[in-house]
Amino acid sequence: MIRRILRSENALREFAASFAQRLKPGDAVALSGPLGSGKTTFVRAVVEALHHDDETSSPTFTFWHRYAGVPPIDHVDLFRIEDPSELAELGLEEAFGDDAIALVEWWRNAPSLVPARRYEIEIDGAGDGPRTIVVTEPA
Amino acid sequence: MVLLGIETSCDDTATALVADGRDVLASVSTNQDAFHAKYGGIVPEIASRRHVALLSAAVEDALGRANLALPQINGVAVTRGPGLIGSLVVGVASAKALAFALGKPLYGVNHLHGHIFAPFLDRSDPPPYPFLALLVSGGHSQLVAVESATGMRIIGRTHDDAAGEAFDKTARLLGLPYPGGPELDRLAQRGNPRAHAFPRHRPAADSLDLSFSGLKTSVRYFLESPAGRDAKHEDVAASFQAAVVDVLMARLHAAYKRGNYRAVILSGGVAANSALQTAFRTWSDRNDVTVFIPPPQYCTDNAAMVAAAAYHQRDVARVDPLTLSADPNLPFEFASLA
Repeated sequence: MIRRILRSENALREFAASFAQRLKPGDAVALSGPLGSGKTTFVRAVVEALHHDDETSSPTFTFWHRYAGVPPIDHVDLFRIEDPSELAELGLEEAFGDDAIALVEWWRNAPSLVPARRYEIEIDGAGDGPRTIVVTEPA
Repeated sequence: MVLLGIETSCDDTATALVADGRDVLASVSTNQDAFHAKYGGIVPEIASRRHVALLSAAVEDALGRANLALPQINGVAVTRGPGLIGSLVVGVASAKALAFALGKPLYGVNHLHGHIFAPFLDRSDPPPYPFLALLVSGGHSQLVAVESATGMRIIGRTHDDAAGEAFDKTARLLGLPYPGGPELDRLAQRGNPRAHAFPRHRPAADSLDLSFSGLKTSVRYFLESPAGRDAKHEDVAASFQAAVVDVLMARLHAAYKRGNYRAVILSGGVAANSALQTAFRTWSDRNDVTVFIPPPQYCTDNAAMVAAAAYHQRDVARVDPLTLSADPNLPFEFASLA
């Protein structure tokens, strides 16, 4: 387990970019933390680091967006899932293939969806203030 | 020319029959109570909203309401992206099968283009080109310069949350049920929009881009503060909504001044928000701009707008029924489709 204090949003981005270097296709990253803690910022920083690309021009999305690249990165957001039974109709399980890295926000809304072998990242804090980030590696 | 529209880009299934890209003969959404009352017992997996049987029932229902039979339609229009692949493929596969079996043309439509054509529905005076579109929904927030039915480009977009997403997430902070946008709107109507000064973010000084993530965070911080714990939720809702509306209207105004537009349209689910509609109409009066807002049932996702887009874009949207594929990340601009 890694625990860090990050003093700004930029520090969060830098941490995410360096964390990204250890990710391989097939890896799953489960992100948690309150609204505004920086989960989406973290995901975007990972995508930018691995695809060497400014992703702010990407479309927003409702549940799942795949960033094409090498490797592809699946960004899943389960904020709107209120009951895991809603998953059946969304086909989100297809986001967890061997060919792509999957990052999941609000994963506790549907823990059964996320592979058991996963990184867990908990972020606390908000805005440009200091944050605590805790990374638990796959067992 | 009557087109059957099919829209399954997210978690809803919708069908419609539209004549000449304008007259809505029928528009059906399977999340409507009336649909459930009629088909709830017939389609056992009604809860599984992307089920093929559900789409068949929705097509039947639209035909029944329009008093038409399948052979009488002139073509099939379907959303091919962007959206959820699992949902899109159901609509696309069904549309291909229908078009092929009927021997009628098939049209592939970009979901976002559908929203652009929502203001063309059910009115005799469609928006004149070139016009500016503000597209705001749960999944999208962008300003689009529309030169012609197929010549459109995004000139401003959100860097983080979509406007509707900011509404839904702030509604959650206020303990409102999902979907939070309309609930927050109702609550805000009883509140004071000047009670709290939430930030109006702008990614860059000369940019037409939007940002709502910081606003959401400010509301969260405020609600966790001693002052926030005692604040009236209707005031917080009204003040949050005022900040979103200010940001949207400021960017819309700047975009309008930069172009040479003959009209401005508001579309997408957030276009149904009462405070945004009021601000938009006040702005149009003050600046003498012709504006269009679709009725609420065409602001949210629907299939009538898909049929309308296909009609107006028919020369380039026509596709071979055997080759059309769903594209969850379909690019916005037509040129990039080639």
